Amino acid sequence: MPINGKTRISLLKISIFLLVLVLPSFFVMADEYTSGSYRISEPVIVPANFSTSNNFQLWSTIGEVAEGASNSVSFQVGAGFLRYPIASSPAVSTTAGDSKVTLSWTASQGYLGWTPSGYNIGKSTTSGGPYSFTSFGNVTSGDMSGLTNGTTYYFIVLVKDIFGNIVATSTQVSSAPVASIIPVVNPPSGGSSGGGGGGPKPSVIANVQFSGRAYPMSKVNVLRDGQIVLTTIAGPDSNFFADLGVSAAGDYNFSLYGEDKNGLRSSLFSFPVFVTAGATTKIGGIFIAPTISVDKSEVKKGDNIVIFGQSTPEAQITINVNSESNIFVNKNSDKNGIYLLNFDSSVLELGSHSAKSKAAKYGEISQFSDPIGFKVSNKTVLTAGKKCPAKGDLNHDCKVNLVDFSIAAYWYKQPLNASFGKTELNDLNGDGKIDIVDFSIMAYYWTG
Amino acid sequence: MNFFKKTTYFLLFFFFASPVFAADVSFVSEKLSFDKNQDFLVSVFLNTEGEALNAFEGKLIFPSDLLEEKEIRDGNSLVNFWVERPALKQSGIIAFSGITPGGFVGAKGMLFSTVFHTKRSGEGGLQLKDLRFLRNNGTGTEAVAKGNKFSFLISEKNAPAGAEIEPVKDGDLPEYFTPVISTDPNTFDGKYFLSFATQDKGSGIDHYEVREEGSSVFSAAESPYLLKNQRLDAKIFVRAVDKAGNARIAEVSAQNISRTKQAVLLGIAVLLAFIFYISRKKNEKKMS
Repeated sequence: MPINGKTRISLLKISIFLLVLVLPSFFVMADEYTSGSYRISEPVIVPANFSTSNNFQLWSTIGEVAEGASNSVSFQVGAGFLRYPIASSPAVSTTAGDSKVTLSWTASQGYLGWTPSGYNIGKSTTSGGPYSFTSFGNVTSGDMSGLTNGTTYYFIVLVKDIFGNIVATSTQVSSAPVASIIPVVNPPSGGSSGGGGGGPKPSVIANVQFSGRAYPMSKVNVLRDGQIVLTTIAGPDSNFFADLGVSAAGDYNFSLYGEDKNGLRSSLFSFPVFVTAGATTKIGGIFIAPTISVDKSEVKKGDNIVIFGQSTPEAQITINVNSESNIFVNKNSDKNGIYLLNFDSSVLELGSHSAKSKAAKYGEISQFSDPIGFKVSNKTVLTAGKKCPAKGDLNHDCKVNLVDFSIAAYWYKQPLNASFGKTELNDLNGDGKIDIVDFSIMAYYWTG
Repeated sequence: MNFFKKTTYFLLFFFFASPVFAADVSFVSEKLSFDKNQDFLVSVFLNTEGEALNAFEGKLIFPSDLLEEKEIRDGNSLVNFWVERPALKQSGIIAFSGITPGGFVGAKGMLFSTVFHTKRSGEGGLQLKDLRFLRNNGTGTEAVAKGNKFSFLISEKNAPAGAEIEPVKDGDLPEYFTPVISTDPNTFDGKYFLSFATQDKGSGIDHYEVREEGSSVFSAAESPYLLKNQRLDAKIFVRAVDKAGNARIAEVSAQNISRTKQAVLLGIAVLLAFIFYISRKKNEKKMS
C-alpha cells in the first residue's frame, strides 16, 4: 500500500513521540527510591556551585549535601530528596615514627551514586582542631612528616567526592612521633596458646590497639591473619578498646566482628596494616556494621516481615530492602542499640529479596551489614534468628574457621562422595567440586 | 540497514555496558637486565583498585631455558591461608592459590616473591596466567584481573662472584598458633584429624612437622593431618618451621585419659575403697 505524505508525517510524529518516551530510560543513571508511602523516580542531585559559567548563575535551594549534614537540635531541614548518597567513614590507623606519623585508613565505600575519589588529612596539636589539611590522592595510606617528636598530634581523614566536596569524616585519632624506636619485649597480651617444647620465650615487639563502636555489652572478636587472638566486651555505650601484642614486624590483616545480644554476628571489618617493631599502631574509628535478621524466611505477599538487629545506641539505622528498585527506610536504634522494622511486603514482587542495614551517629557512618535473604511468596515460613553463617560452615559448628578450611582442603580437586556432595551443595557454591570459588565463599563468611 | 544495526549495537553497548573493574597484578624488581649466572628477586604485587578481594589463584610462567627458580618467599604475603602454597609445579610454572578472610583492599599488596637464577644470555619475560581473583561478596564472583608482563634481558657477561641475593634476615619465630583436633564424617572417614596454620612475617613458613607423644621424632606433615593416635590420650606437638630455620612448637593437650593413667586411677580408687573398708571394720569392732 503506498504511503502518502500525510501518513508519513503521522508516522514521523509517532516515531518522535515514542523516541521521547523511550530514550530517557536509557539515560537514567541514578537509583530509584520508594517506600510504602512515596516514590522518587530518577533523582539527580546537583548541589550549588557545580553549575557555573561566565554567562549564567544557577541558584539552587538549600539542602543537605550528605545524609546527616543538618544536625541542629533546634530545627530540621527536610529539603529535596528524602534519601541522599552516603559514603562510609574510614577507620584510621596511626604508627609513630621519627618526626613523622604514618597513617593508613580503610577505603570509604560510596552508596547511591557517590564515589569517594580522594582524601584530605587534617592535623592539629589540639584535640578537636582546628586542623590544617593536606590533600592526598585516592590512596589509603600516607606519612605526615616534619612533626615534633614527643608532641601529640590529632588527625582526621576526610573523604572527598569527584568534585572535591567532603562527603565523610573519620573520627579523630592521635599519635606522638618518637625519635627512635626501641622494641620493648613484653609478654604477649593477646596471643594464642602454644609455643611449648623448649622454644624461646614468647615476646611482644609491638602493640596494635583497636577502638570504635560495636553494640552495647557485645562481644568483639579480633582476628589476626584469620585466626581469633583476642575477644573484648564493648561498654554500655557500645564503645570498645582492645590492645594486642604481636611478636614480629610486618604486614598483618586484622579483622573484627561483633556479636550482638542474640548471638548474631556482624560482617567482618578488615584492616591491612604494617606493624613496626617497637611502635604502637592505633586503629581508631572502627564502626562495626549493624547485625541484621528477619523473622520469616518466606513471607506471604501483603503480610509484614520484621527486620531487626542491633547497633550502637540511638543511631539512625537505614534499612535497604532490595527489590526491583531500592527501598530505604530509616529507624532509630533504642538505648540498647536495638532496631526493628515491621515491613509491609505488599510493595515487593514475588520472589527472592534481601535486606541490609547501616548505622549513622555523630557524622560517622558504618558500612552496610551483610544482606539477609528472604522470599515473598503465597505462604509464610517463620524462622528463628539466624545465628550460624549462611555458608561455609562445613562441620556445622556455627563457625567458619581453620577446621572448615581443612575439610575443604581435604576435598580440593578430588571427586566428592555423595555425602560431602550434599554439604557442598548446601554450604558452598554447589557446583559439585571444591575449588577457589568455594574457598572464597568461606573467606567471606569467616568467623575465625 | 547495516548502518542502523551497527549504530544500535554501539548504542546498546555504550549505554548498557557496566564499568569494568580490573585488579592489577605487576612484577617489581630492582633491574630489568642481568648478567649470566646472576640471582635476582622479583615480587608479585596486587592493586585491588579499591575492591575487596578474598581469593587469589594463578600461575607465574617463566622461561625455564633462561631462568632457574631458586627460592619462593611468601613471608609478608597478603594471603593468610594457602590452598596451594606458591611452588614450582612443573618446568617454568609456579602455581599459587590462597585466601584472605574478610578480604584485602590495597594498592600494593604482595602475593609472593621469587629468586631466579639466570642460566644463559637472551631475552625473556615473566607473565601471569590463569588468574582468578574473587570478590569478597559471599558468592565468589570473579573480578577482572590484569597481569602485566615483566620483560628482561640477560647479557653474555658472567655475574661477578658474591652477587647472590641476600637471604632474608629473620630471627623471629613463626606466629603463635593453636592446632585444633576435629572430626567430621566427610573427612578421613570420620577419624580425628588435626588442623593447623600460622604465618611467618620474615622468611615465610617452610613446612610443618608433627610429633605424637610416644614417638620420639617429628615428621613432616600437612594440614589436615590424620592422627595416628585416635584415642586422643596423649599430647601432640606441631612444629612450624620458617625458611630461616626458626621453629615454633605448639602443644595440644591430651583430650582423654590414657589407659595407663586409667589403670593407675583405678588402682588408687580400689586402694582407697579397701582402706575405707578396713577402717570401717575396725570401727565396727570397737563399737561392739
